[in-house]
Amino acid sequence: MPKRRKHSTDAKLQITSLMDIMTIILVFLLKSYSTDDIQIAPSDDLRLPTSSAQQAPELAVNAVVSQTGILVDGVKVVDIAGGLVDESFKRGTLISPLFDILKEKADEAKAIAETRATINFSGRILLQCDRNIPFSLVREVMYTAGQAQFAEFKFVVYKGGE
Amino acid sequence: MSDHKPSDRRRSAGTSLEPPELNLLPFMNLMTLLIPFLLVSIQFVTLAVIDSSLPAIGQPQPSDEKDEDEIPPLNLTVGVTEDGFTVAGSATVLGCEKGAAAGGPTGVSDDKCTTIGLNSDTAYCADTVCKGDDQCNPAQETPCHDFKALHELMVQLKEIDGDGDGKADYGEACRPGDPKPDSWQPPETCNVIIAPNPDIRYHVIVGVMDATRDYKKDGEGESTDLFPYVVIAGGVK
Repeated sequence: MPKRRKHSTDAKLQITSLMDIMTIILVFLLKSYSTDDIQIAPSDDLRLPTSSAQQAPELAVNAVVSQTGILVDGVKVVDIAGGLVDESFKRGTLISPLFDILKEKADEAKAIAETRATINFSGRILLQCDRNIPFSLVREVMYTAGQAQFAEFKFVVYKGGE
Repeated sequence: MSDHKPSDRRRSAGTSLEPPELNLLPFMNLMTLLIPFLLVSIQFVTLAVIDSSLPAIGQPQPSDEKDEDEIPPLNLTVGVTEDGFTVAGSATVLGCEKGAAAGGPTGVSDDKCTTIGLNSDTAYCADTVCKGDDQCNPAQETPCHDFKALHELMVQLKEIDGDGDGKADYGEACRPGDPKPDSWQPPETCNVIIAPNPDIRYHVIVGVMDATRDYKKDGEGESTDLFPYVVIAGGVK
């Protein structure tokens, strides 16, 4: 009768293969790690256009023009219906509620710029516009931002293609 | 003198010849913590920005002695209408003739410039207009604006040599050298004015900016600037 091999009492997990998987996943995740300054919340109302632009976004006041409303730094300012702002919110081309909040932001930024010599008020504004809104609305927003002394527009787009 | 050789010691201390197993558990702990953290900060789309500024308000700079041979300023303007693009500027390639109002011969209209009609190729429209939009219906978008033709015209415009001096008339470098000189201003020949009609949708304007920004020469990795400085104007209507 052959001698029965004695079973080892301490069961050992074979971790090496799992480690391989983990290492690959880790490398992949590190590669797609997001270090962008700005975050967007994509929705059905806000689908940015795709562009071949390569310039990286930088931190600035963030204005979102979606199909349903205008938001400044995540706070809803005014509603949009059918690609138009209601006439009661407008003074000519100027969108009053948007102007008020942007003016506030500009004044804040200027107050900070006055206390520190190294910071300048750049008047930079990030515009995230839905791809299907009409130019008339973009123009109104740009005009309003310009009146509130934001004159350097950065149109946020999806980087695609080339 | 010992009875055992050093080589015997190992065999007598351990029972097997298998290499010692590495303790991977602490490393595993690290991994299980890192992976969820990285998963939440994963980036599915990359963003980019397109610069534009408001036109400066003020008196135009008085030009000092005007050279006879001087190339007239380009003043490139791309009007975007529902029927296509209207490209205006001073370059002769655009076919712009100055009418009586602008000091030219009488009987010529002021805005006789190059127009680019719509493209009615469904495949082309699906590729350009509907790019990155899953709710877009290519059939509905046809005919669409012909960005390719506009782009080709821009490349042509950047390369023309009207005065025959072997250099492109509007081929100035659009970016400052490194280090950037203090008083550096982008040359006028790098500007484009985009004037869309009120009903033009935003992605068309972005398409125009893409078509006029830069181009890649064959076999070159780096792209060359066309007209990267965009000014958006009120529209032609």
